[in-house]
Parts: sequence; structure tokens; C-alpha cells
Amino acid sequence: MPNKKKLSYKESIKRLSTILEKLENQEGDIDELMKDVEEATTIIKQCREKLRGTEEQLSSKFDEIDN
Amino acid sequence: METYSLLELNHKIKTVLDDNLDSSYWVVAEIAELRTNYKGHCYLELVDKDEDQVLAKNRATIWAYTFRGINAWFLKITGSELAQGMKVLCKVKVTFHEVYGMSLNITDVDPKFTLGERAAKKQEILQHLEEDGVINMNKEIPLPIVPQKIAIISSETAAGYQDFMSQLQSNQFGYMFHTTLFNSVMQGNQAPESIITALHRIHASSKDFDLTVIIRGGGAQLDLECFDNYEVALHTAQFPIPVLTGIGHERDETITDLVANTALKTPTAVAEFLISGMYSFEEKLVAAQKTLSDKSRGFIQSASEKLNFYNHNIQKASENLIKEYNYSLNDLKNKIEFITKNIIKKELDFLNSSEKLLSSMNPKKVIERGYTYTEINGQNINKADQINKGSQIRTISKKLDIISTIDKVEKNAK
Repeated sequence: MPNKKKLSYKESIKRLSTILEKLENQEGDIDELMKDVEEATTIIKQCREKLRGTEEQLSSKFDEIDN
Repeated sequence: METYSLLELNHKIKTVLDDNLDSSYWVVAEIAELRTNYKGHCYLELVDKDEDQVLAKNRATIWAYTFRGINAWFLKITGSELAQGMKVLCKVKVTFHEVYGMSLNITDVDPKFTLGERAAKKQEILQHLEEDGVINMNKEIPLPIVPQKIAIISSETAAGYQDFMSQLQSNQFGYMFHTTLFNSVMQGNQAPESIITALHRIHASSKDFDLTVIIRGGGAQLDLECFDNYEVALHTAQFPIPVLTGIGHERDETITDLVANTALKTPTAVAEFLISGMYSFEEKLVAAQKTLSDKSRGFIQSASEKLNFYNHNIQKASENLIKEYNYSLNDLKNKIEFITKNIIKKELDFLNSSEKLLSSMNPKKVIERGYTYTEINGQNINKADQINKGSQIRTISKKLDIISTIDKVEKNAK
């Protein structure tokens, strides 16, 4: 379940893949699907933020090296 | 029997002599005694000797006027005045006086004979010393580099000694000399023994001295016979400390000069020799000091230049190395940046495609587009194994949630 505990990026991606597979197979009822979609959306959002954060951090580190 | 008075006899002798002898004769004889009186007349005793045995002896005179001329000429030629012990060739007139008896009146003296005589005697002594094997002994002793402890054989009152001391003590360089005077008679018959005694005394404390000087001179040319003496020369030649002579004469060197380590003309010249020896040693020291200083300065300069060169090279090399490392680091950084950006891009691409996929499969969006979603027993109707008539299905549309009962089940054309 989402937000139960903070997942690592790798675990998040794994979870996303699982959800996408489940959606593709159209398993579960509509409410479950909706929850899955919501979870996947959240995961994507979080992962993106994480990536952006990482990108910014890296940029700043590389800038530090250059200066 | 005919008798004569003594006067008559002496008259007779005088007559016989006057009648039978030439007016003068050149006679070779040795001066056994010589003295002058207050009037300047010279009275001599001439002898003919075979070694120590007197074979003949006569009184002789040189009247004052003649004596002044003869003596001055003799001195000029031989370097010595007429003196006891000399062998001379003299022109004599035999005279006989009734009271004073027979005497030889000297009217001339040939100095060249005495010179030759002296030279022959000197040659004989030299030959003797040569045969003794000692003639070069003192010369073979190396002179100390800086002789400072000096034994002096001289007479305390001699002008030459005073000249020597004053020259040494007032040297313009301020060199120190430690002198010890061994007082000696420097002329006359006693001189040889006195000089030899002084040599013996120096020898007894030879460790205290670097060299010995024999000096005299100053004033008129005096008798130098003692320095042509065999014993004096023999002791000088064998002396274990170098001997320097400054006897103060212009004529040929004496035998002592010839056997001494170093012979100089005058006492002053000996002092100058010692001072100049010191000066030349000091000059060598100064030159060595300068060479040392120049060489070490050169060495330091060249070492300094080398250091600078190495320093420059090290700086250059390390700058190059740092530049190189910097390039590598930059390269590495660029690679890391590229790789990480790539990873992030890949991840972002995956997220984007997941989002698209999610969006396309989102049942809510599908329904919003006008489609409905039907489930049976809480399962997508497309996944249901069996669908029977009378079973209930749930249809979800944009606005409605419809529950219906299956009336008929038919397979569609698809």
C-alpha cells in the first residue's frame, strides 16, 4: 500500500511496474483499479520529484567541481 | 889580541851588512805580532814557520807614513787590514842599529800575495770539509716555512746586531720574532772558540729554535779570518738547525758563508730575508684564502643556479602534471555527468511512458470519454469465466452506477 512506508526509488519502480502489469491485465474490480491508478500516479510524481532533486543536487555538485 | 868596543863591533856589523846586502828584498813571512804606537808607526814580528816550529824570526817596522798607505791599499784589495797570523809578501830593507840591533824596514806589501795565500788556504779548508762529507749538510736541512724562534750568535754591542734587531722589531707587518742572543766574540783570535761555544749552547736547547743566525758587521771592514776557520766551518756545516749568515762584508764569501744554509751580505739583509719569508708565507695564505673564498662562492653560485633550475623544472613539471590531472578529472566529471544525466533521462522517460500508459488505461478516463465499465461478481466482465442468464452485472457510466440482471447471453460477432 502506498505511503505505508517510504519506498526506495528502486522499490517504487518495481511497485509501478507491478501496478502497470495489473492494469494491463485488467485484474480486480473498478475500485481497486482506481486505487491502483491513484497509487501509480503518486509513485510517478514522487519518482519524478526524486529524479529532479537528484538532478539538481548533481548539477550543484558538478558546478562545485567547476568552480 | 885586538879588542873592540860594542859600538865598534856594531859599526862593523852595520858596515858588513850595508856593503853586502841589496838595498831591498821581497820576503815571504807570517806576521806573528803587530802593533802600532801613538805616532802611527807599526811594529811587527815576522816569522817563518814549519807547522808550529819557528824557523826564523825578525823584528820589522813600517813607519807611520808608509804604513797608512800600505794598510789602506791592503785593506782595499784584501778586505782586511794587516793583522797577526797573515802570511805576507813584503819588500824589506835590512837595517842595523847600534843600539836596537837588526830590524827589517818594510817599504811595501803585496796584497795580491796575501789574497792568493788566503784563497789557497781557503781552498784547502774547503777540500778538507768536502772530504769530511759535511760541506752541504746544513744546506740540506729545509728552512722552516715560518721561522720565528731565532738563536743569534753575535756580539751584544755590535752595530750589526743592533741593526738586525731593530729591523726585525720594527717590521711594517708587525710579525713577531722570538730572539735569543748567544753572546760571542766576533773577531780576533778568540772568535772561533767563542762562536763554537755559542753553537754548542744553542745545540743544547735546539728544540727551542727554528734557526740560527750568525751576524756581525757594521762600521769598518774588520778581520774575517775567524769565519774562514776550519773548526767554525765544520761546526756550522754539521749544525742540526739551519744557519743563516750575515757577516757584513763585500769581498768573497767566507767558508762559514759557503757551508751555512743561507748566506746573506749583512745582518739587515738577514732580517729582511726573515721578514720577506714571513710576508711571502702570509701572501700565500691570503691567496689561498682568496682562492678558497672564490671557489666556494663559485661553488655556491653554481649550486644555487642548479637549484633554481631544478626548482623551475619541478614547478613546470608539477604544473603540467596538475594540468594533465585536471584534464583527466574534468573528463571524468563530464563522463559522470553524462552518465548520471543519461540515467536520470532514462528514468524520466520510463516515468513518462508509464504515465502515458497509466493514462490510457485509467478506467476513470475511459468512462469519462463515454465508455462504460461492466463487472460481474466484482470482476471485469471480460475476465469472467462464465456468464449466466439471471446473474447480476454492474455497469459504471460517467454519471451512473447501474445494476442489471442478465436476460440473454450471446456471443458477439468478434
